Amino acid sequence: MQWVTTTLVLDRLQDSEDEAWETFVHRFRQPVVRFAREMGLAADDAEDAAQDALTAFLVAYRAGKYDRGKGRLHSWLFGIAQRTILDRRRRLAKEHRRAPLAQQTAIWDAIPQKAVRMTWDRSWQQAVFDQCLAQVRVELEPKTIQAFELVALRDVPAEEAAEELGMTRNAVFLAKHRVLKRIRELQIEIEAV
Amino acid sequence: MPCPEIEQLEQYLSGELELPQRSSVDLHLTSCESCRALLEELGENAQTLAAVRSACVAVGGAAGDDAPIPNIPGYDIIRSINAGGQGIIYEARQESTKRTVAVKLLLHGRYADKLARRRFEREIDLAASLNHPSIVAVFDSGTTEDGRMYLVMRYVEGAALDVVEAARELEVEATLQLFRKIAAAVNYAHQRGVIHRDLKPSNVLIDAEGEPHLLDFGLAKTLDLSEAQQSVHTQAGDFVGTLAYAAPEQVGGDPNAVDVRSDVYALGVMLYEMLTAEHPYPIDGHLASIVRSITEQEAMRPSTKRREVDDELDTIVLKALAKAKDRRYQSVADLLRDLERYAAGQPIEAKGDSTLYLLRKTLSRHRGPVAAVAVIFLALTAATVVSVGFWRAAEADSARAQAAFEQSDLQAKKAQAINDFLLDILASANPRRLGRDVTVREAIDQAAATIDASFTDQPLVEADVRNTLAVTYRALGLYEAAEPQVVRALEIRRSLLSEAHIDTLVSMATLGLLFSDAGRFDEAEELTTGVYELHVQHSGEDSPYTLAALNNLGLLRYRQGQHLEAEAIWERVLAGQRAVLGEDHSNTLRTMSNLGWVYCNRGKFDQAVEMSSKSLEIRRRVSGPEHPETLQALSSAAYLATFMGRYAQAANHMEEAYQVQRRVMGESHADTLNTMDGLGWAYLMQGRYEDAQALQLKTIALAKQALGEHHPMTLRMMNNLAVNYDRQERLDMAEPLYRETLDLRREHLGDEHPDTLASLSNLAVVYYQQGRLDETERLWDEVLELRKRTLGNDHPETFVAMHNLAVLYARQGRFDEADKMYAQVLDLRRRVLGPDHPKTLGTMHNIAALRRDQGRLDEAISLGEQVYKRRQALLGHTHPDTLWTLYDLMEVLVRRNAFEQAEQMLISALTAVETEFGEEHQRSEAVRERLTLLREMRAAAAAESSSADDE
Repeated sequence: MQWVTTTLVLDRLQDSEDEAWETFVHRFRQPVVRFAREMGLAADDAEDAAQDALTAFLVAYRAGKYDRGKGRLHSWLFGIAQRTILDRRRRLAKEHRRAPLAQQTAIWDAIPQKAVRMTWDRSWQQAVFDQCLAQVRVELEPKTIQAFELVALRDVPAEEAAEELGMTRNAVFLAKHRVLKRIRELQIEIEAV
Repeated sequence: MPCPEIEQLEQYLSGELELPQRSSVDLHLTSCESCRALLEELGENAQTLAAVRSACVAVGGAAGDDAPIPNIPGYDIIRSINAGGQGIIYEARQESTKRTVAVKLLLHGRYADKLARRRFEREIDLAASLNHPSIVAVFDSGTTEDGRMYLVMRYVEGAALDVVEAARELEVEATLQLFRKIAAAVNYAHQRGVIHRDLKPSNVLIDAEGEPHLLDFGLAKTLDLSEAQQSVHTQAGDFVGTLAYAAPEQVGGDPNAVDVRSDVYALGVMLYEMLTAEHPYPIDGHLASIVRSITEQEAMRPSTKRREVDDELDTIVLKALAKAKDRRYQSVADLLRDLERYAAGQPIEAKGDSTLYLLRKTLSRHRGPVAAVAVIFLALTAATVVSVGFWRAAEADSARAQAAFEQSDLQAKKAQAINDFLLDILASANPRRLGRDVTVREAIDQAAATIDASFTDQPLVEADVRNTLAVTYRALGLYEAAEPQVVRALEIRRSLLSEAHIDTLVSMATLGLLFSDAGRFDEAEELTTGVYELHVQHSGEDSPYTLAALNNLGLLRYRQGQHLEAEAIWERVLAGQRAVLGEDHSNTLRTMSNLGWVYCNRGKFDQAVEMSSKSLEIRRRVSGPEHPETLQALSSAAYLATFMGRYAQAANHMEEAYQVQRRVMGESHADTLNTMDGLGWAYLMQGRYEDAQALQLKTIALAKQALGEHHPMTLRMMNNLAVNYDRQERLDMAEPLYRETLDLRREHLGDEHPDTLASLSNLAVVYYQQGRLDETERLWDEVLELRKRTLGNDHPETFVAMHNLAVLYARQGRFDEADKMYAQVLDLRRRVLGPDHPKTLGTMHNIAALRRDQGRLDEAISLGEQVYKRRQALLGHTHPDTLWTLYDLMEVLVRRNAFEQAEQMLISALTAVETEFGEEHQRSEAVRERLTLLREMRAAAAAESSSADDE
């Protein structure tokens, strides 16, 4: 899939392009699923909730309700995701009369909003970085990625990483920063809406 | 200088670069624009990396370390000491006083309006008013030029309280001492109207002297305010860290619900951790599950995790941790008071006060020691049963000796000689001559003493007499006295008759039984198999003698715990006897009775009942209803009913047998006494403790007279009485009686006899109930080792010892060991006893309880349901063990708030019990009581949750 900025995705989404929708879902399904799981939904239900949330976003977006000036996509999606997940839980509890679920709904109500928001932020950020990492893997040399992973994520000393990969120390540092720089750029492209 | 390498720039950025290089890089940067740009980029990259890492692993890091050192008027910042979620702390020097202080700079803490700022200042003033040696007071505050808030505090050199280290390094007493200091500081603040709201170990600094210093007093609200304005990049870990000590009402997010009792709760969590090194409930996993743990999961008693913690301390900690504020200590002062009472050995005030609390307590009190006692009950019943069955076998053997004797050539001559001898003995033991009652023992002893002189030229007669004496001694339980007699008889017969002569074989069989009684299985094995093989050689597989010898081998296998083999042997004996002797023959019926027992022990109850009722029916038909053998069969059927939990039926049978036996044979007859003991046991199982006790005392008195004080049966009766005391929780009476029985068994049966080991194990059960767990463990370890050595690894009694140890480990919170041991027992029992054997199910039941204690409730429920279903099928819906499984299952369901399911199950159990026993029956009442309890709990839980909603 071609990498595009979220701004572009949103522009294209206005014109009911299937490909844009696919990209959008690919990009933002994951944080909602993570969030739903954190809030106690089962895997299947979390997937369904994410689908519902993104669809709800699309409908609202096409109806012109999303004003980029008024808030960031991040916050907007949060509101929608939270509502969708809560609806889903209530419905599940009602439909199945499953005691544990009914109970969980009560718990949901007991979770402080601050914690809910933090959880969303964390889910969002994880998802964003996951995609950034996936994209740099597409774009950059495997060796570069390996060097980054060794020194930046696994705390392997630069000396060892260099030896393992047959690079110079300096090349390892350059690789690390190249990846980080690209991640930052991608992050902006995803989030700058 | 040329452009520095990227690595060097990184070090420059992080401050790791040492001075000479550092200044040359400084110099270079002034002149190289591209390096300046690169440096900026590297700084951004470092931030990106931190964000990536925190997103990947949501742990708190040193966020803000790179922040520039702030300019705070009046203070020289020396270095940053720590960065947390709320801000960075610096070591600084106050310029005016030159004293070292700590300055806490809040992150992103700008105020939107004057009102918020005033509130912040008021809070600070309040906190600053605290003057306590264990509170790090704030003595200045302000705002930096760029609008960030800071606080100035006393500088304390120390490290945050490490609860894991405290739990590992400190004795319970020292832990409590430290904790009381912390609590006293909190109490001091409360009395001045300051609530902490965010008590946690990282807010308690411990200095070099081990003294605690509490941080951030009264600031949580203030700090929280600034924290709420933090950006998306907040480390979620910080919140969870705080959440771990948050009271249920704090999790609810309503600031008005927070009061001093929230601090009581946080202190409870800290104390729990300081004692056990663990959090009261899991705090990893999804946010929803953490919140659920806080609001719902009851903490396990700390004593399950650390054995030095006793019940009272458990109560104190759990009261501080109560979910509902109303049920906690109402103030830290109350908590402190109880801790001081506890330290002084005075009774604590913490008592369950609410309905739900009391009900839960009732429930758990009911279940506590049951697992262990139930085990003992099964073991004891089995032991009783065995001796009943084989008391008969022994007598049969002596009858056979008699028969063999009558067939011999010397019949008339020997009969005359023995007759003379016995008359002489009886004459010498004449009560009139000795002036008092002469016991059988005295008469026999006297006979034994005169044998040497009496039969100098009649060795075969001597052998006969000695063999008879041995049989009599054996019947009296005097194995040591019996042994030399039969050994001598065997010697004589071997030397004068052939090895395969019927008399020689009788002596060998008698000695084999004697060894088997005494638990000397190796020696018994050699003789018993030897006798059997000789019979096979001389009279073939199906001769009555061979079958009788095989019957004895079955007994030996049974006692060795090889029930499967015993069953196969007895089935083979029964088939042979049916063909050779006919179904109505006494030997055949005896084998049927034996087979009934082994079926029962193998959990094949249908077959056991069939066998037992068939032999009873035949006895009634052939010998008449009042024949001793018929009564013995009746008594035997009653034991079976006891084993199967049909206590009322058992008691009826026993009473019937007892009345006739008493009339026909007298109260002092061994059969009558045996039935009385069984009747006492049936009463005991019905919960009729006083009826049982009266009967047991009478039985023991009679047995001591008729059988002797050391007779194995007398000792068994004493043991059963001790079990009764035990059941009545009169441990002060149970303990000495178990001990007396143990000492007598040691003396008369030896240290390694199975009965002796059973006594040892039972004594440990008392220790277990008294909480003397170290002694319990030592004894059970010893029992296990001895059983492994004397009975082998695959003996069911060895499994009992392992099972008991697992129960102990679980109680001590040594879950991994318990788990391992249970797994081993389960595997062995499945293999040796079969997957549906009652004892196999017993182990599964206990594993379910372990899962519950481990907080693995789903597994506990699924396993509990499995056991419940199988017990229903095997033991019936109304068997006490089936009901216990239901009760335990109910408790887990209640914890899951699955009241509906628990209630449905109880209702259907109640219907079954009432249908079988009637509404008035004790067992029906017990189930009804549970149902009432459950309904009250349900109502209390509903009331609690609605009141929680109101809060």
